[in-house]
Amino acid sequence: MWPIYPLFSDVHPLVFGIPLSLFYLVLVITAVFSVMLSLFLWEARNDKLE
Amino acid sequence: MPSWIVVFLVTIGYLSLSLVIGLVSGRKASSSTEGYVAGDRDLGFVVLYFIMGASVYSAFAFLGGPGWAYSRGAASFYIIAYGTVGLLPWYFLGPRISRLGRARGYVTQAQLFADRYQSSFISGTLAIISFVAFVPYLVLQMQGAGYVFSIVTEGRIPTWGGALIAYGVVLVYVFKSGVMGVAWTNTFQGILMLGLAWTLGLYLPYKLHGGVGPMFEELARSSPDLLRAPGFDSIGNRWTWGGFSSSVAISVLGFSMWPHYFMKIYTARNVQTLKKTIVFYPTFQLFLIPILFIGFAGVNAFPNVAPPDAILPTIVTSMELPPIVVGLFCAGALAASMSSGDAILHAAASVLVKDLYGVIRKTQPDGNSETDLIRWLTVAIGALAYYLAVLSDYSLVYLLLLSYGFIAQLFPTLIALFFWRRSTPAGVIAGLLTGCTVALIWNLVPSLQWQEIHPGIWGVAAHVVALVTVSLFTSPMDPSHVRKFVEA
Repeated sequence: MWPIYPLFSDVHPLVFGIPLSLFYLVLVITAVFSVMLSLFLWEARNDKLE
Repeated sequence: MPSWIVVFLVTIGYLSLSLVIGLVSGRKASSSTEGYVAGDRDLGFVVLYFIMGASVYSAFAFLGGPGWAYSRGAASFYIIAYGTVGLLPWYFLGPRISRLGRARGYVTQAQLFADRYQSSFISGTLAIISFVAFVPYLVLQMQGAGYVFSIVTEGRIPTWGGALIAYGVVLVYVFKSGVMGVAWTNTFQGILMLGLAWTLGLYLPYKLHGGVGPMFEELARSSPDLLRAPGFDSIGNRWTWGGFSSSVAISVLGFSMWPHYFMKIYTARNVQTLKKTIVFYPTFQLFLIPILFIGFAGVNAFPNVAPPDAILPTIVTSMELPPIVVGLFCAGALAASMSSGDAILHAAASVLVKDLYGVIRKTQPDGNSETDLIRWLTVAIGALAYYLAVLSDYSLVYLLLLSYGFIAQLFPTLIALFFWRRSTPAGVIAGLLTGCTVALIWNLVPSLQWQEIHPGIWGVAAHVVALVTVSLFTSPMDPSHVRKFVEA
């Protein structure tokens, strides 16, 4: 979304064959998944310790 | 054997398998309303992952996704953007909703709101908003199913026949098995869609351009603006960042509030299962990426296809693919349509009985007769949607545009429900009605548009003002009652 996505909205460079505008979203999906998975595992470990 | 017969047989094979899975899965739940609507609150991670993923990816994703990529380019990325974060509010609110649902017997979204605010009017209002938002989506799914049948059988099965066959199957398994039928068929349909999306999404660019990389290199030379975000709007002008970002924002707000998704919170076996589903949910977005490749593959290879939504069927039927592959495409597109349509049909009937009929009658019907009522209502709603989809000329475009704007109005209410003790029933009703009215007016009066900001955003802003103002001017609720929800 604005104002961050406009910084990565261009076509070039093509990364792994796909435009930067799409590759950025792949990175966002990966980042969201990684952060949420870490949070989930951290909470699960804390629950076990308690 | 003529190729259209092979296509038809593969499609019938898929429909038969869906029907068998849908009917057999119904045996896993009790015959109570809780079994029919919430699967006895016992769905595990894999099924919940697919039911959430496949319910979201509808005929719009399978046909509209490539269509958007083909005609609007990078604008289509908005579909990926909102889906990635759309369910995240549930990670934090879902466990509370699930615990309250289990403790207080909720199976629908409105039951939570009505209980917190002690208002049957809120229940009825939410049921009507939900129904108004559901119908155009269900109609769209039916039209998509009929359209696919018609294209791949070269018109031998008309649109009305295709929709009738596909949704006849849906109706049978939803009627018999309720949410368990929806859940297990969605798992099967989700796996089929994922497989086909990746197969077609990689194969078609390879066949037409020598691969995904060469395809984008060619597009970057011939149509760079198509790949530059935020792409184009529906009439071919450059989309504004205001339009793109507000569409993402309203979709994020509305996404988790659709009643047929929201109700799935109650079906989770436990809080851990629910959280794990939400954590893994963004991975389902990866499914959409190859779907968009298909649209991009058609830009230079098949120019001037109209309407743009026809690009995927056009490519599939023009490339002289083996009929069995065309049949599998047809099955995948039907799976996309049916996996959303069945969840909507089941939720619409459940919401009308639990949240509207019960309020009008003042008492809920007893267990089995309530379940039977929901069952027969699925038939009535299916018939209404079928009439609107193939027999009526009435345009639902306005309702469709309004759907997300209306549904997003539930989000501020949910936040107030858990986090603002001072919110009152009158404030919530004022907020909902004001938000929906403003979204409606902004849709009907284009001159009010500014920077292409989605009408639903103005609705949410007005909603918050009305909710806060009216709540502060009305008597607070009993603190001991409010505490049960705020501290859940």
